[in-house]
Amino acid sequence: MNQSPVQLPKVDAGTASFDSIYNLGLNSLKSSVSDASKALEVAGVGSPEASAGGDFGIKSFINEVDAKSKAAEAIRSDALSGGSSSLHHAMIASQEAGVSFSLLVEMRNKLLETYQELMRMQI
Amino acid sequence: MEFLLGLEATTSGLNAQRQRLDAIFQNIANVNTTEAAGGGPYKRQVVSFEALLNEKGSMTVGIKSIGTDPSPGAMIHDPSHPHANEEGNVEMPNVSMSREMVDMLSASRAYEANLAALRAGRSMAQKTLEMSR
Repeated sequence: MNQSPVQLPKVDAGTASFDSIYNLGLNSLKSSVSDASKALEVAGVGSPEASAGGDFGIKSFINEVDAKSKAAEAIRSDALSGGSSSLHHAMIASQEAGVSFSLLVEMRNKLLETYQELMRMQI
Repeated sequence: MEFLLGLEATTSGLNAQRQRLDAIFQNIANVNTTEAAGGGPYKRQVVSFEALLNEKGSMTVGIKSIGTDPSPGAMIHDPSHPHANEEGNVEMPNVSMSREMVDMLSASRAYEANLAALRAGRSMAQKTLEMSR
């Protein structure tokens, strides 16, 4: 297998709302996911259109999760400032964001698992 | 399909019970209000619900109307009251405190039931995410 050094793609700069989650390790998650998918791309694994993006749709997935988290934050601040959103809206939105984040983590784990499986492959 | 099971219906249920509680709180707050906008004493607020089919195919709760209970309030003889009529009687609001308390209990229990449903939906989602482990 071609073991050329993996180029770390530039991590999309996260916006302010996601900063707290970055501190909890999303940054490393992001880079390791793109690391893995980039490596798969270098190794010539994956469908042509997937490797053309080089991220297996993970980047857009992260953006979707980020959007959910931002929406939750908007609802939370609206509820806090006495807007039309109520407490349960804020809680439900943050639950939704939390579950979608867990889904992202699970998908990342799955992708890394696949990558490691491929690296162990005997040629 | 919704991202979390039962999210739409449960959210509308929480909303509906909140509205109902809001009306009950207003009734309790105005238990002694003898003059309201439009003349006469305060009239009990009653929230009525309707089932609505939303675009995601779940039956949600909608607020049909927030109306007033037209039944007459108790007449109290108190000639010194500024709102007393010629005979010295004052019409009190038709709010019965015990009824409001029972309604409040029922509304907060219904709210909690919706929260429990939400928790069940979330724990199902979490269990599903554990599938790959």
